[in-house]
Amino acid sequence: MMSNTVLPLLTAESLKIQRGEGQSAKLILKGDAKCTFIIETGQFYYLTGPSGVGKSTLLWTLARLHPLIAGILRLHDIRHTEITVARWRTEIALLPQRPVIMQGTIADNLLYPLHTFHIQKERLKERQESLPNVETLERELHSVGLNDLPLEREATSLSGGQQARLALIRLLLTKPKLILADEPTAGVDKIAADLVFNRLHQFCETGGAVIMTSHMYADRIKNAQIQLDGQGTLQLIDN
Amino acid sequence: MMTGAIDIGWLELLLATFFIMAAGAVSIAMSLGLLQSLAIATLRTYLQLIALGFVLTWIFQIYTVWIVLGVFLFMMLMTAQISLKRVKHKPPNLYFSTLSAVFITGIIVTFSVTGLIVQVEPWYEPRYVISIGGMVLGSIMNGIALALERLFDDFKKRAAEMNQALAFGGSPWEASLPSIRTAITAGLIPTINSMNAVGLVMIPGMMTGQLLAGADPIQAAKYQIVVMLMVSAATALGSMISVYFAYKRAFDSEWRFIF
Repeated sequence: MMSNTVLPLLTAESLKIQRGEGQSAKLILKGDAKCTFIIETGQFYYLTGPSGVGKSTLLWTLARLHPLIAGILRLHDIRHTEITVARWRTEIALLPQRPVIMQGTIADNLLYPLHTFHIQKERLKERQESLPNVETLERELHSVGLNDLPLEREATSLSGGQQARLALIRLLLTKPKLILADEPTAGVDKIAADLVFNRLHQFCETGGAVIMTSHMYADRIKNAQIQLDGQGTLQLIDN
Repeated sequence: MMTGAIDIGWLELLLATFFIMAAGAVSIAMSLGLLQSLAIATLRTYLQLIALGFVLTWIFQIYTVWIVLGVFLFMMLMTAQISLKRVKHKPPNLYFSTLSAVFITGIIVTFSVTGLIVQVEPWYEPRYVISIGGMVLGSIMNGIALALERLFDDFKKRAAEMNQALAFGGSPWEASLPSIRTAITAGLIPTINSMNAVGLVMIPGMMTGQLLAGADPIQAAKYQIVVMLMVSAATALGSMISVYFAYKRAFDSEWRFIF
């Protein structure tokens, strides 16, 4: 058996995706050879294309939150049909455009997925880890510049930029392999956006991978780009 | 035990309309625009209840298992339909899951009361099965309507949170649980309130009926306790089962929120 380091993290073959149904349906990828790409561990991918072309829909499809009409996704060479939806979504994790912050403290929010969902508890057990302790939570808060926030503070009272960072580290604590970041810096001030962006980069450098859509930072992506062209095909530009 | 209530003559019955006509006059005077609906509702009350009287007379006379079961089945079909009609925003294909909830709850509660508590002979004695069944189904209807209305309302409000839960690998059940709790609570609260208030604020309808028919007040109270608990049980079971069957309709087989 080959080790994970030589296998691509995610391969997407001949994806066919559409948004909407019936008359108003819009074809986003048409399912031919030009709808194929490979995602490698350690890489930061920038998903580009004109607005309304289906960037979000593609990310949702990769997380299996939007239906795939045809094509194959593989996680470490295992077909998506052979991996349960729950497990898939914990490995290939969507960071939604608008952070979803629950009623409760910052600590409640950070531990929410690990506390609530069966699959997350199972993965903790597989990794032989326990719930992150206070030091870990504080270290993570520091890593995105949320230094002076007490863990007991009510999370819904945080600013938009603070909530975006909270949502990011909440996701990082679930230890995904690939983060699909859908405009994670939208509506967030420049300083907070930089902190989010840098933390995502750090995640790539420590064995993760990121696909991100964003209006900002296009100039700073040196690694790779997935371009959706609006003609139902895409192009992977690997610098 | 019962001596029977004093019969009301047809003329005297029409006299009762006088009071509702007074309400109609107020509606006109204050231009509430309620006269038409008031008139229709009054007419329906007359027609539906008199029709019910005739139907019950017929059922009580025929006294066969199949008629009793047939009528009970018809009542259950109506219960499912009417309770769903009262839920405004809902996913399609809810009828059969709701009907199943009505069936399970309606049959269990009605026949537990007639068979185990009141112990009627024969078991299908229409005087008991149809009237107790009617009360049970009525409360199931309220419970289901309130619970489902609240469930899908809460789903709409929590859409982003539901998708986030699924994105974390949560199952439809895990994503729905906060809404399911809210929905079942909403279905139960009116019942709990009326259980607390019963006998203090008002004498409940069934007990009044028995008192008018000349029953011993303690006897009537015992019946009312049975009815009260049975109605609560029916509401609780009905809302729980219907919500349990219904929440899944908001998801597809790949655990995507499609409502």
